[in-house]
Amino acid sequence: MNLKIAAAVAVLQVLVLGYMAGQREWIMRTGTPLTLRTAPVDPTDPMRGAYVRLNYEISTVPAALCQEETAQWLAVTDYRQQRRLRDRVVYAVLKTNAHGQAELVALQEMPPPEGPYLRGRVVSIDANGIRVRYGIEALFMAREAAIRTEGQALTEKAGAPMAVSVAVGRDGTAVLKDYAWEPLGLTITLHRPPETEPRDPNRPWMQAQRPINAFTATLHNYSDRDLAIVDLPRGRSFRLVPNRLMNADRYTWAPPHDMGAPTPESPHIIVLKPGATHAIQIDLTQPEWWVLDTAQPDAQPVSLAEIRDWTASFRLEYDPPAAETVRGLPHADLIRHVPLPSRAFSPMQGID
Amino acid sequence: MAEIDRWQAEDLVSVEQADRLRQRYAAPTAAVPWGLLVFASAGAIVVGLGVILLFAYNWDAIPKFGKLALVFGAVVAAHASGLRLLARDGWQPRLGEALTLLGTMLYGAGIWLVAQIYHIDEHYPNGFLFWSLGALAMAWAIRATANGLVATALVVIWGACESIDFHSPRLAAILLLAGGVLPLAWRQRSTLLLAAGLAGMQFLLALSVIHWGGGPHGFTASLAFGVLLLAAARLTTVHRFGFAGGAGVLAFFGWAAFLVCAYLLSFHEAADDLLDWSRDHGSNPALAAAFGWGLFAVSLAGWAWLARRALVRREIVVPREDWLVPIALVYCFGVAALGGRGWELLIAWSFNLMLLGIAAMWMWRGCRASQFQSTVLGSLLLSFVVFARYFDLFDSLAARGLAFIILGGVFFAEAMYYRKIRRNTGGEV
Repeated sequence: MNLKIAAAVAVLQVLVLGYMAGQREWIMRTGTPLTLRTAPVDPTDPMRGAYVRLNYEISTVPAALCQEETAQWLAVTDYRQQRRLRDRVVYAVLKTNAHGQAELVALQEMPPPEGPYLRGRVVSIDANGIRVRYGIEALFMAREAAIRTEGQALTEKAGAPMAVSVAVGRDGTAVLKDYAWEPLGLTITLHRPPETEPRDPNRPWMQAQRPINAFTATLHNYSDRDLAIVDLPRGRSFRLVPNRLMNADRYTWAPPHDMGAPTPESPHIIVLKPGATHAIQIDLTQPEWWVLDTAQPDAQPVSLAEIRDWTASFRLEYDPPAAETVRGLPHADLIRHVPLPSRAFSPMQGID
Repeated sequence: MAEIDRWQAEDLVSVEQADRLRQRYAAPTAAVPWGLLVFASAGAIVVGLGVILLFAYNWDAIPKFGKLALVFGAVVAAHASGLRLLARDGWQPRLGEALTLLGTMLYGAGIWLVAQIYHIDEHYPNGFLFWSLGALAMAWAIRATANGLVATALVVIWGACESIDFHSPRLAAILLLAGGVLPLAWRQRSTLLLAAGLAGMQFLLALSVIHWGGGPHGFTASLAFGVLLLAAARLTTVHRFGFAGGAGVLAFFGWAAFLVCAYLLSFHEAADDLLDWSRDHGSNPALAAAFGWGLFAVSLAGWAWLARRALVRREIVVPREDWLVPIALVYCFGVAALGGRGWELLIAWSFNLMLLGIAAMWMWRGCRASQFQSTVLGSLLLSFVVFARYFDLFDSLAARGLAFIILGGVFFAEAMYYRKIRRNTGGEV
């Protein structure tokens, strides 16, 4: 037994812990600050206790943003090769948008020469894109707080994304610093046509398929101050965004070409008091809400009610007019100009 | 000695007689305080796990640097007091060993706590890897079996997490056990650590090779590993190496692996599939093949060396049935390499006969040498073979009945023969 070596091992153990903590602390203090958007969900880690699992917008990288080697990975269909690619280190190139939030520009295998980027690891790959984790997907907190946060995501803060502040080191390592709920939330209710066809008396539980034909989109002010929203006629403050995780760019929103953006006017601006909500009805059978199946040659835009594809998936996105468009209108200063996506939904299956 | 003191106190013996009695026995050497070591080590592990769970509660009330100070302070305090006691004499080094184990457990807790504080959600098996390296380094530094056992468990957890959760088996996990744990077990003459290391190696080896090359590669590699252990056991018995228990542990794991493989091959439904390397390719068949053939070569080299000593130079004695082991290995690798399908009946019959031969030899040898263990093991093996054939070989009830009558007859004859030999050699019957 050599006590000096034993002491050295003990010191080494402490140094390992010190390096772990010191590296993170250094990045927190000197790293590039970024804000990322997430939507939270549950679980518990047996070693580290309760935590909230964070699903960042940049965690799902669509095929169009995969560059260099990562673009070639999308063509891999053999599951063994896909397995080998799992956990490969990748770099997400980011830029900060006009709203101060980090947006994904590209995913590549090598770090870019400059600019903010996150170091991540591949979770899964398919033809539509790559799922990546950045090592900041767990927000550890006391069990009660974790349960409270999960509950808030479903009730008190339903439809509101979480804004997570991170600091990024030179090698792309991100450290989660803080989080906050965004002040505005968007929830949707799907409507289907009434059941008209009689059910099979032998199988009364079986319903005829009834794809959705309308939405109720509700905007919630979760902040403690007044907020203004813009409600343009016929739901034109919203747009349909394909859920690339499910069907890549197969279905695209195809409003008529001559449908210009209406100019916001005073009556369109609605002030929401703290805790107030505003519901907007959207008729999906109208041409401005039709979608195009790009996989079908010579296809024409159709209503969501006519889509029978179970993988078709979209998000409704509240897309308020730019600040210069509403300048001079009453309460324009209360308008939050950040786009706000809803949870994904499928015309056949409902909300994910 | 205490008994003599009592006799003296009760005037059963005089002082002189008591002294003379004491002189007949050697003065007791300072015994290893196993009770202290075992319970203190168990306590260290449980306390460490408790600390992990306590930290996992993630008290909001404790600020970040408070938590960090707690974990750093706990690791330093445990190691410092442990090293202090290790430098002393008597029973205290044992307690020191337990405290360093506690320090290692707290170090592991610290890894998860720091991850919790900074919301680190990276490749989590790395946590087990760094923890195991810390434990293994400490085990070598203070030659501590308890730290070695913890390191073994952590290496196995690391390797299993990489294989199962990330489909990325780590050769380094097997090498860590082979190069880090087994030599320590040997040096410490610790059968417990050797058993843990071998069990971990066998598990990780099967798991990894199955991932790399599929089930058949995992099967043949496990068989080759078992055959290698049996050669090592025989070599250890011959050379002694001052570690008598080591041979027993090696033989146990070697026979276990070999007999399980041979038993599976005695089922003709499974025989073809288990030796078909072309079936079920894994992620890296070339590595799986290299691993299997590497073990095959080392195993055969070991047995060739034994053959030279036993058959050519006649320096040592190797039981006849043991030679079936390398023969079975060559047979299996040969069939697998030739890629022969449709040989399932030949393979199954071969292994049935092989198992029956081993069982018969163990029973006969056990009776001849009045060794209860060999006799029972041979009987059990024979029973397993007969019961296995109950389902797939003996179609009719008449054949099954006959098989049981013969088995019962064999046991009866064995009992009588064993009794006779024991009586002749003067042993208890």
